[in-house]
Amino acid sequence: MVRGLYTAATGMMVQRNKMDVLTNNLVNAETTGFKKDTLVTTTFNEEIVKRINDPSVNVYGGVDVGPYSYGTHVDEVVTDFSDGMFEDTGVSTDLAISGDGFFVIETDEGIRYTRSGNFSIDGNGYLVTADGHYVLGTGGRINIGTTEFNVLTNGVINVDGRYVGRLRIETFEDKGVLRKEGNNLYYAYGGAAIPANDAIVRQGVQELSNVNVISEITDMITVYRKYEASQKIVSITDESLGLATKLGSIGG
Amino acid sequence: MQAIHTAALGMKTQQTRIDNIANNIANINTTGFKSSAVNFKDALYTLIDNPDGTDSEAANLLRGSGVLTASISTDFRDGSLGFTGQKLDFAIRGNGFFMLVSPNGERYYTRNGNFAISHEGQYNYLVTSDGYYVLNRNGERINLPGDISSINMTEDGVLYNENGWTSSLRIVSFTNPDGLMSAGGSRYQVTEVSGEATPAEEYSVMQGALENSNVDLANELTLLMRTQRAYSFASNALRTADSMEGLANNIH
Repeated sequence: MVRGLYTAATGMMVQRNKMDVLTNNLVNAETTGFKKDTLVTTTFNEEIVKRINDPSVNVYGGVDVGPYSYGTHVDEVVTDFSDGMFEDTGVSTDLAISGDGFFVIETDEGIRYTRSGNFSIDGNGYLVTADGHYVLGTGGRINIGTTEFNVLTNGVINVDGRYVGRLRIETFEDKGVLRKEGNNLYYAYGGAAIPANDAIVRQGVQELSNVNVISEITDMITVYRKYEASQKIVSITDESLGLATKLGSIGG
Repeated sequence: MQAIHTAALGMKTQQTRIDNIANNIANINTTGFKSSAVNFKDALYTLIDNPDGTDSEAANLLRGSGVLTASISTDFRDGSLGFTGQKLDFAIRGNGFFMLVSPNGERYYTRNGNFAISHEGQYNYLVTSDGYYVLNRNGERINLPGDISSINMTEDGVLYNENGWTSSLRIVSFTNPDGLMSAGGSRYQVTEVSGEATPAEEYSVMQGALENSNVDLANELTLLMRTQRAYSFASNALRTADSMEGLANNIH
């Protein structure tokens, strides 16, 4: 019975984490290039429940009753890297990648990757992110010097027909190595980047988040009800335990 | 519970965009006004504890903490022209700004060419509607001849009349106009991020016309609806997360 109390509580804990993850999806539904996360859960390893000290079957050492799992717990977060919708902005420094690939960004902490192409030209003429980090080209930082430039679909940047650089677009064999760190950036947790050959760069366009708010709201309702159900089980188990303790009370 | 803070941050960030849209719409008839847009980024990620004891980072068990404003970028594309026929109304086409100096010597830049005369003793200075002096190519105030009806101008901003008087408007551009600091009254000030003012190259100036605001009302209203939705989704998540806390609080 006490076992049930804990098992139901693990259900509540998991739903809280799910709620955290989907709320983050929901509030980032308007964030350029944001990719939706899904929290995957799993059960605790099953254990064999044994019957012990039962005089009716007269056993010593126990007899197997069957497998039992102590509930559920978080397993991993899977990021959905599918393309979001594209929105025309007409702003020359808004870039988007269609297909598999990431812009490569130089930060103080090292190389980072992003799908969010709300770039600008800084005071010294370099292409930078909204936070001022340098966007890298195949030859390092890209000095464009003006907001009047063209980007070809292969990432080549031209100013008045003159080549000024080419965007470094990379991807990963297994995108599961990418970890989000905020500021629309990803870092690689192991795994080596490879050139993204299928990526198409689009200028004057921004990639919207790939969050589908309808499915997030639906998931939120499910999470809430599952949480509520687990809470009921905790309460009912608690009530039953309360009755059991009353059995032994004197004069009750 | 993280979701409560995540949702609250979502509401707060969307509020920034609502404020920005309101400012754009309020300035739909302001001469030389440039619309701006809010860009978002996801907030920091923290690890979700796995009771299994496995490494949370390896399992990509990351929980986002909401959404933040990444930048507010100004769209410096030309607004439409409104013809006034006034001799002291000017509009810049292309990349350029008029250069101004305030009565106490501070420098400003503007796209609002709705100028007037300030009679100061023997001088007739060209000023903005709120009394800031317009500068010529040498960085000096422009002293107009007595009869303004005879003033004409070439496309690159050289003012002249038939009596041989001549002066030229100083038109400057910036590497990153987005980095200019808005100083109110459709004036901007230079910052480190914008880069220094350099003589503009790709521009033309028109006399007898004013540049209308480049705010696109349909676009702003669409964005307003999207933002309101995003705001209510976030508030919905906040309410749900709060109800979940309520359930937890009512177990016993």
